[in-house]
Amino acid sequence: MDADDTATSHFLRNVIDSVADPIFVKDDEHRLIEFNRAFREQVGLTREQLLGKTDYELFPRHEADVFREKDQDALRSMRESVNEETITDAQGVMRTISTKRSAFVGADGRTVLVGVIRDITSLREAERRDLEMTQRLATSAKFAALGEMAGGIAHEINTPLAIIQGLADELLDMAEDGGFDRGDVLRLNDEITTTVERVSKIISGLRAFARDGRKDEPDRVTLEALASETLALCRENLEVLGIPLELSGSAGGVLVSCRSTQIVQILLNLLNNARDAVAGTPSPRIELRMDRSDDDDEAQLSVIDSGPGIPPQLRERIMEPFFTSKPVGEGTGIGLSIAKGLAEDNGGTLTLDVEHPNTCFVLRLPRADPGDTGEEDEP
Amino acid sequence: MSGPRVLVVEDEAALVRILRRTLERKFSVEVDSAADGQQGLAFATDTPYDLILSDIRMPQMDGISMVERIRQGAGPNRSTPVVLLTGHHEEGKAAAEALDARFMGKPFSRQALFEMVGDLLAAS
Repeated sequence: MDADDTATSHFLRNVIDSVADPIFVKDDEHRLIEFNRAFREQVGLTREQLLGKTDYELFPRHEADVFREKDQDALRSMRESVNEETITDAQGVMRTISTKRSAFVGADGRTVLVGVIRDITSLREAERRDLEMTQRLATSAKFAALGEMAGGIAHEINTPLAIIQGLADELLDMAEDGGFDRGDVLRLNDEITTTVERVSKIISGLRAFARDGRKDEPDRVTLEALASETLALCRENLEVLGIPLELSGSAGGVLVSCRSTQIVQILLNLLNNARDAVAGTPSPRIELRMDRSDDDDEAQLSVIDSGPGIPPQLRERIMEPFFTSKPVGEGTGIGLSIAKGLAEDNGGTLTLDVEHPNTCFVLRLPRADPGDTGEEDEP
Repeated sequence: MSGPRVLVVEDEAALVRILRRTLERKFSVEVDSAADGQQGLAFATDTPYDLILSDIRMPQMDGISMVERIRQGAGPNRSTPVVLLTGHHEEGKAAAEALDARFMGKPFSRQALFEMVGDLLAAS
């Protein structure tokens, strides 16, 4: 090696030492032949301790196994690869790294592997925290919506209970009067049964709402069923405010594939927003509309309100997390973003129909494959 | 002379029918019924009643606003006793206190209703 070569080699060593990401070079027998300062610091060993070593002499076996496999892939394919792996550093802390590997054939005809390591531990940690935060917010938004409904639900249930009690008293009167008219008994039975069904529906809707539906298998349900499950939960709330809710359109019993719980959550969210938008306006009105979509693969539910509409400059942003147009302290700003996420989780979409003269949110859901459970699809 | 007159304001038709039947049978009262606060207010503006039984949560006008208007209005029912009948118990108790009315939570036993209505009719 002449003086020039030595100078060049020294220069190159300085170059790779100045790179903050750990870099390593291995021969075709997986032995370390070159590395930079960042790599030495990560592993916590000196140059002499590292030269000629394989990963099995430096790292825990399960980590070395992964490195060996990925090294072999790169050496064999001669293609650049990026892989996420874990490495135990000099302090014994497990770090998450992204390793970019490439290979080339050296002057002596032997293959050389070059790896550049990027430590992504804090990035992954931040992502995990974000996800946790989003999930926690989704839960708290759900309970806020539930709390809002709770008063309404007490009334929704206690009123039919009062009816059942009244009908039971009527039976008692009949017994006291000593005359059971067959027609009266049948009528009372029918009224009691209908009223019990009304309570059951509210309770099953409530249970469906309170539980976590994320891991449910998708159901095959009609839009009509989704709409009526939702209405059972919010009708009272709107009625008190004197806001008429009209159920319109028809999907002709077409089946969609979705997790009902989540769809009910989306619709409740949209209806709550609609309620806030129309409350206090003259002749408020909310419409829940069912349609077979133009697209044969879909069907849609729309929530339309008579409110003042969403200003054009806000339309783009309303589905962003934490964006809210409600006064401070009223909106969490996560409702619509979560609703949109839930729609997408169900293979659907949630959009604002900007062509509509009123505020109109459209929830599209994929139709269930006809006959994929052997059931009859068409009415 | 006709018996006492009672106004029932309730949006559940089945419950109106039950209350009407029960009260007529027990107290020989005449019952008028209204399906929401607005209708109830219209009845109470024209006709003097011995007792008003009202739900709270109803379309058009809720029972609380209705009772406030009856109490503050110029009609014949400014001091008519009122029973608030509601499934929303906390709301009902608070409103009854604020409006100087009685509260009966749904579902209610007929016995409790008879006692309360009997007391109020005897006093009026």
